[in-house]
Amino acid sequence: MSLNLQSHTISQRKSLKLKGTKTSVTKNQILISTGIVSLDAVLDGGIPIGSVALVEEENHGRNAELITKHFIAEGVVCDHSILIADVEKKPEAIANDLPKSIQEESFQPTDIIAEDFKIAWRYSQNPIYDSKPHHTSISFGHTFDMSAKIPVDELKNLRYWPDEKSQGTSYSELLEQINTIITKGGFSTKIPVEQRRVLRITISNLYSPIWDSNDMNVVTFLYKLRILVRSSYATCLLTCRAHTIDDVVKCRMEHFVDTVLILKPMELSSCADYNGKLIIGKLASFNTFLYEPLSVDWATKLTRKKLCIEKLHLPPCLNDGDDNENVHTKQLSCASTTSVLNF
Amino acid sequence: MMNVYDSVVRGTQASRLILIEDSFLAKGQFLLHLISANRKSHDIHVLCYENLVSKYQTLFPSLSNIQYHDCMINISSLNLSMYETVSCIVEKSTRKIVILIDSLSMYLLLTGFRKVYKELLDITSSDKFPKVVQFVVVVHKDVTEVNQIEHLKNICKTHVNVQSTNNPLFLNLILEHKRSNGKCVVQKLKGELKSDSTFKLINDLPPIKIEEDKGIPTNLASFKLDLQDSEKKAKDELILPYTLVQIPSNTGGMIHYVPDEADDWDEEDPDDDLEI
Repeated sequence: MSLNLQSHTISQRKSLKLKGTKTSVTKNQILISTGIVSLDAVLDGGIPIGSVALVEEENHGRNAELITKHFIAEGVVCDHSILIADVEKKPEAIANDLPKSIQEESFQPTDIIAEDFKIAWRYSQNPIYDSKPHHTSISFGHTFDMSAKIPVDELKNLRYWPDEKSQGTSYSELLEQINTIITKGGFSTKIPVEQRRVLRITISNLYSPIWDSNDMNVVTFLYKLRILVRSSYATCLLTCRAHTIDDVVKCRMEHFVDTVLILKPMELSSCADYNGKLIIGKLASFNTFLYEPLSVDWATKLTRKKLCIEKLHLPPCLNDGDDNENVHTKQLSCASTTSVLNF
Repeated sequence: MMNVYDSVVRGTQASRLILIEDSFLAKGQFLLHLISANRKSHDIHVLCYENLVSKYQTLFPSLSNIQYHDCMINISSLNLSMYETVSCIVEKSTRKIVILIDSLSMYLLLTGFRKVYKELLDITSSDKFPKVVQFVVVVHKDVTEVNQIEHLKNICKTHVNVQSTNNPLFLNLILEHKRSNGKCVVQKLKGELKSDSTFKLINDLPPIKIEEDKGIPTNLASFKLDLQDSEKKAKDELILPYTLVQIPSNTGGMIHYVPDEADDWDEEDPDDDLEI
């Protein structure tokens, strides 16, 4: 029985009994959560099974690493199988630093009005502007606390690449490993098994100089990976450093993946609340020829415990930080240039 | 705001890999000199790829805790890689170590970038060489390719870009320090290089303005924008006509309608079909 993964109804999904998944009603796909509830909302519900997502990080940020960790932690909580591949760091080190799942209590509506308005009383009924993305789901996905760690003994079904036995760092070897896991682990749609499970694959630092690309380059790798993942219950999350890749290769890489997220860090001073910008380069779109990019600017907000995605809006700017000499020339527009008021 | 220059020179901030990017017009070796003079409690090892050891001995301060390793002999036959050299140093040493590499560009000329990058990742990983607290690596942007420098910038914790100015004695420094919380501190400096290899900072950049309290500036408008406490009290006590309307007991209206004889009273609710 070979199912078409890219076209699923809710009842078909329920008969599969896949943990930690939901069906996208509009697109007939099985989705899994990224582990960040607000990021799921931005991605139209989650990442579809059988797709490849690429996170491009620019300069010095570390949000891509955090997204990877949330993605793995969500898999641990949902009892998915996980493959962690990283050539620069030890993949075991990533697994030992996963955020812990917590009960979400901050979803209560904020109904406390700070103070009674006396003059602008008409505005007291106005809702407080909500920066969360629309359709932020409460029931799907978990909330994680980065200040706590998942204990190592709770980690199950984790595989690492490169492991103790294979010290290879070439794209072809990784592809071979993924192929073995998918066929032998029962993740392929072509091979019937009793109990289906979801496989999460994370590959960090794609296009790092450590990779041996003599027998297979990164673009071929992504193409073959896509073919492999399309017919299996697997989802890939790749991360790379955008500024180290030249534009031609980057374009080709973006072509062969389904979702592209671009993370740009922000200067410390420009927007104190946010730590970076999130640009949706590409959204996974199957079953359609149309492509509809989102038009909202997203920003990433990082606190000690939590990473979340919000709509980007600038805070009110009271002090422009001008020098005192500029203040004289930059008066209020209603004030006349001479200091005497003339109505 | 954090002073990156100070923390680089004094070593006050934990930074395992400092990358100094320079060119032949603006040499960054003076930073190595300043750093070595400020690491009194560490063993300093200089890997000399660029000049003869005797040249370094005259350039650097004569301190008892500095050791030089002639890597130029190595490079002609290349019997020891950088990784091997570092592990030899670590084996012999008992104290905390600072390693200065001058310069990585020379090593890169004879070794493939992939190998160098792997070696650098290995030697800077804290579980392999916990004794080494800091690596200071010089790389020449006029020798090494740009994309290779980008890769190196990626793995370093602090990056110092030394730029030349019109005057050969003056140098611009751009320092970037990545904090562990994912934020990055950038500092731009200008300084004059003195003959005794000290670097005198010139403070011609506009000083960082100290944030004053967020009060409303007094001279912004020709009328008064702010209120005194007594004025605020008077304002609060004043009852404006419309505030009476806001008291809940007074609000809410009623429609009184007395039907007259001509009225055709409809028994059915005309709004029945509306979903209110």
